[in-house]
Amino acid sequence: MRILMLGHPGVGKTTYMASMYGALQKGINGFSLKAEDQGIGDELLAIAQAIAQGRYPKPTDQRAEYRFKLTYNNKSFFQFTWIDYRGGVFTENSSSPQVQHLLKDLKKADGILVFCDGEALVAEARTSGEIGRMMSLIGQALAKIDNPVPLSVVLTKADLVPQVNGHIPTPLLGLKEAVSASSTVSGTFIRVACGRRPLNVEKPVLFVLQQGVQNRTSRLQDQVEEHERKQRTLESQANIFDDFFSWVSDERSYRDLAVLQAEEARKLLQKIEPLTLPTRALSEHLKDLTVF
Amino acid sequence: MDNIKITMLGTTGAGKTCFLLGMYAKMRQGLGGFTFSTLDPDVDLDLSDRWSRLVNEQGDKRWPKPNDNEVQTYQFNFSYGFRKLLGFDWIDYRGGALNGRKQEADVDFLYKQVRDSASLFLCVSGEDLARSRSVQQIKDKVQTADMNRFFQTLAEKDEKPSVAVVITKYDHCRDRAKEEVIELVQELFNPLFAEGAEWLVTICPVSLGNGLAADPGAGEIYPRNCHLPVTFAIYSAFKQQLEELDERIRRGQEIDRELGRTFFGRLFNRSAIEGNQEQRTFLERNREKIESNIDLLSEELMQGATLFYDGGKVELDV
Repeated sequence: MRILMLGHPGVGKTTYMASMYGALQKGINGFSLKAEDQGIGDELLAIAQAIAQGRYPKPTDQRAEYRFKLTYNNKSFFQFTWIDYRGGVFTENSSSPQVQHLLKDLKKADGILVFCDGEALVAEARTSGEIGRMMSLIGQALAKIDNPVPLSVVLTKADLVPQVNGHIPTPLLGLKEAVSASSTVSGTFIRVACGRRPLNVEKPVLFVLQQGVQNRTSRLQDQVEEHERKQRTLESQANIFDDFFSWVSDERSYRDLAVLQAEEARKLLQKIEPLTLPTRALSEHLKDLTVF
Repeated sequence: MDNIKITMLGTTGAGKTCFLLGMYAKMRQGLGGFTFSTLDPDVDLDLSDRWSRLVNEQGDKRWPKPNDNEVQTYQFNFSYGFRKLLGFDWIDYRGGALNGRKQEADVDFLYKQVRDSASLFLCVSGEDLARSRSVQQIKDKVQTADMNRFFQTLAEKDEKPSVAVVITKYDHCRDRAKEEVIELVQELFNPLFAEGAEWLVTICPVSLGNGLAADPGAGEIYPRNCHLPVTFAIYSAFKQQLEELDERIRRGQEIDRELGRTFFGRLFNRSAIEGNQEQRTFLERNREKIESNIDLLSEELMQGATLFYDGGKVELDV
């Protein structure tokens, strides 16, 4: 699964990622995150610790990719790639390599986190242009995607704007309505705060991952049903004459082929099984989120 | 549905560029599930930058410079739930046929630009409609005589795109009641409102901010109704398509009735009749989709526009 993190400069994407990683290291309801590259994991933890003391990281200056594993009760069950873009990419034209990369990444995204600065949203007119620019790029990419895509709208610095309490700010209503009208995109709006008193830091990424896990489970289940359907068809065609003639000609009989289909279904069920409990736990943890 | 063409007309200073910027800023952010996007991300960036300047700068710096190009073209997609419903070409005409220096060649050029337009946007500045001017002064300033002659030409060629009379800078004529402004517009462009002329027209007052008339340099930018003209254009394009589909379905039914009039006709033409029925089912499914789009547009977006057809006020289908 590829998750894209988008937002204008200074909105707090790097702060969020480090805080989220730090929070999930301690484990939340059995869930934890592990960076595939130990060095990156250590770096994120160090940033998270600095943030907890009120020291915030510098803005990101390059596109960066991170690979993580989501674990439940210490068992790894889901891998994903997290892509962080430099905020300034939104003000560059399409000749910029970063913009070209962004447009390609958007088309391949399996999940999107859109970051909006809660404090700046109070100055509605200024940020409405920024939100519009992000919507334009996201909309162009989503128009070409047919598979389900979760989109988490993350309001950062929520501790500085307590007046934004649950209701979606006006500049973001258009995005919410477009997502509600979409048959492939599902969305949620989450207020987060990092620093000394973190709020909801794990929820945006867990929402996107939950959808990703559900989509994978659903795809696997569809494949299981296809194999079981083929198995039933082959079993209905099996008979002793086919068994005999297949034995004589050294070919697989309908009965043999049905067994193979059953075996394929069983292998896929083995892939689904480790996802079942974490999926239920994720749904439980996120049950209070409003999904549109 | 094929792309449609929308042509925007208006004299220099009528506010066409600001109207476009306000329209795009509003619709790009989304409204009722509908969104706009440009085909070219760099055009989006350009419009975005110009809008940011309007919103954030003060004084003359905020306002876009006049453009000398005769024609400027933009391409947009109109989507619902991020799925494209319709593409449209936006033609911004600012050439000689409308500035009093017109020659025959200018008028021919304008006709070529306007030809095949699904909709015309006629931009009239609210500054020109202020109470302080007499009706004749307004007619001279807005060059209504040239406009009306042009509409006559279109009518003679049996080409009647829908027309949105866009009253830009509406904050400047708030000294007049809205009904008064509508009546004035009907008087200025009377061929469009004549009974029997069969023009579909809307009158849309738009503004970038109620305080801009008093303070253009520092007044708050808060676009109002800028989305209405283009949603009217798209609504009327869908209505046109619906009429064409109904005609095709009706003709298909007539053909089948003819083919299956007798027993032997039904026997020998069975596969043709079945093929036609399949085609009609496909057309009817398309028809349902378009009707649903029209309903969405009517419900969500058309609160605030006054519509006229064949000279009479009409209510929207919902």
